[in-house]
Amino acid sequence: MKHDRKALLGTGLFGRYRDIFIAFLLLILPFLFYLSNVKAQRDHHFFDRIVVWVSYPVQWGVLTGLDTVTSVWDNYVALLNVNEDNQRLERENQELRLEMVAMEEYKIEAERLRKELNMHEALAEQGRLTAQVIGISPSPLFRSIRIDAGTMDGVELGQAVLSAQGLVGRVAATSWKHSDVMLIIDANSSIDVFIQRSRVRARVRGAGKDDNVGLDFEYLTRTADIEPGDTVLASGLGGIFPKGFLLGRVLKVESRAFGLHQQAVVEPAVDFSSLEVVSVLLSGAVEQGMRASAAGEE
Amino acid sequence: MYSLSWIVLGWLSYLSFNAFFTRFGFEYIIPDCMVIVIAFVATRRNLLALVYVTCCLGYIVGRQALGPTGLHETALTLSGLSVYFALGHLTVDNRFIFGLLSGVTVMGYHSFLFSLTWLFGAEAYFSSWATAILFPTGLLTAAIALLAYPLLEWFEGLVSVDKQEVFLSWR
Repeated sequence: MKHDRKALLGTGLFGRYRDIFIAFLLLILPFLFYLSNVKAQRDHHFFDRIVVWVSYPVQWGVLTGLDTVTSVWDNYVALLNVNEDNQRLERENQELRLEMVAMEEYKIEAERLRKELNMHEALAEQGRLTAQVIGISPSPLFRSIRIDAGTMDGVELGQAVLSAQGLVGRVAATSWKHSDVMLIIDANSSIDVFIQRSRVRARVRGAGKDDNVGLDFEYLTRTADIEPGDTVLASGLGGIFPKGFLLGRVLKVESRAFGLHQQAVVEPAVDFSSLEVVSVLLSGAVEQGMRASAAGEE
Repeated sequence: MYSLSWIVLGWLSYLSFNAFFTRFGFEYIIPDCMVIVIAFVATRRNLLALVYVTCCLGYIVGRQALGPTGLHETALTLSGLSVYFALGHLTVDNRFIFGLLSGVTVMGYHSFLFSLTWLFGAEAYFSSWATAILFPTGLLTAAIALLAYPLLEWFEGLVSVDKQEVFLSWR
């Protein structure tokens, strides 16, 4: 069989170096694809979606298995000394009941403030889709996560993704039942923000650097009032991220003796290495939230 | 069929490990099972199977990493070919050497990724964080490769129906 194939291919230059030629071709073709795609960011096409779709059952199966094992451990194996814990919790419960009365007062105040802002309520009423993180980017050069919600759930390109801790990123590629989210610490991510204390506006860009120190200010003028510890919020400009959502805190500020700008680093509020559940703001949620906010100000 | 079997194995192991380390991972340190599979195929001296496997697995990992099409395919193929040509006609039949080889290949793969992005792409940072996790990732991959070597040999026995012919053929 081998000899027949060799006879067909001939013993010429191609026949002799056939394998090397094909290997070279399979190296060059992806490279040319890369060169043509390098600047353009695009959504998943049909074949990409097939790959993602086929991958899901395996990822889901492993995660479900892990969650089952963890659940069995937490609910049965780890229930030693439960009686002692129960008594301790009873005591704590009594103390917490007393604290709750005090907290009720704070709640009333918080409700009033929320009504003034109005925005977060509007966002909650709008489509906010909860999704589970099912994968993370294997490459440190690209900071992304994969979630188990896609176009069939209403997810679209560019939608904001949040967690209880703060801004997570935006949808950068979609599939039918999954989406890839570019994290705010990715080098290609840039967000318009403002400092809560001084209301200074600026842009922050993902530095693609360390896990929790991942955002740099861009073009921050020397005169801008900014200090370490300042809270950084999304400005809402661009219509992707809702205004007033927490991005992080200023970690350090460096002013050189010369130059037009000062350097500042933002520590993201979100711990990206332990994300399990996120919320996707579906289309229209940000715009309606902004309108509600504007109406509240009036 | 031989290449397809390795592609499926690489894909499944990659998905399983990625899902596992998404829950229980430590600071993005994930053993690269695809590189283990590629290093193993490269040691089997089958050039065509190697490039088929690297191209397909590169495409799959690229979809998860959100990289531009072609980047991971090229980097993984370069890594596979580097192992193939660096080994020459040496035979790797020792699990410790294979583990070491896999660990080094992971680091080479990430270096290729960075170089390609830095030379032709937009913005690329080989940050202190990325550098810091590279060595533990390589080490973890080497450990997994060391443990997986007998399984990979067993799997090869299953999928290599024409093993005898390969050993006798001209190269």
